[in-house]
Amino acid sequence: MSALAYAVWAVLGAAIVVLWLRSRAGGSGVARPAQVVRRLASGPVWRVAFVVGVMFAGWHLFAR
Amino acid sequence: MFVVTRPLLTASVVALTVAYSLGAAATTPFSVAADVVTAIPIVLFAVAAVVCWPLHPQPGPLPVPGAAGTRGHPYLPWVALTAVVVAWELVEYLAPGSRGAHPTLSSMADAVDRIFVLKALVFFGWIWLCVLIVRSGRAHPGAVPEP
Repeated sequence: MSALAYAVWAVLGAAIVVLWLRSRAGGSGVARPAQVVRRLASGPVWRVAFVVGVMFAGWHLFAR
Repeated sequence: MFVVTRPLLTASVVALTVAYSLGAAATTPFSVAADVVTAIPIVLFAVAAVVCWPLHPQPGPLPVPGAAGTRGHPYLPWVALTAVVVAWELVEYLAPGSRGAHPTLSSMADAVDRIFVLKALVFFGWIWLCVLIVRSGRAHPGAVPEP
């Protein structure tokens, strides 16, 4: 079962890389990661959720 | 007279962040030291966001989509992929059985954090993500004013 789970995570990771590469290709129409971050950080509601999410991620990863 | 140039300042900040990340990687989770070294960037991040960000943000213009092969919203693929990741994380989290059989992002991150250098790298990346977010949220020239 764990092999399947890790395989799915690997596929999702690969999908992120593919999407990132695609966003760098001209005319793909996919926003670049920096543009996604900028959009999230400039939305009146999203920016609060985004900041809290990143703060929580750090706390969860390194402290508790 | 000693003049601090921008490249020197950048190098100093990077060096300081690397040193801080190495120090943070040396701490043990669920300890006071880990709480403190993690809380300091979090507090600085929150303060920087409040100080640097405009009270009423203006979303920037949409990324210019390419003429060919453009379908839908430029953010849609990222939203869809994030939704799939969150869904799979929930499936694994709620599945009965050991965490080894059903790994989550947290459990995989724990495995990475057991290696000192990797933990320092992740910590460094997290701090720079915070910096990038603060910079991205500042008012920029391309912002579209609200009517």
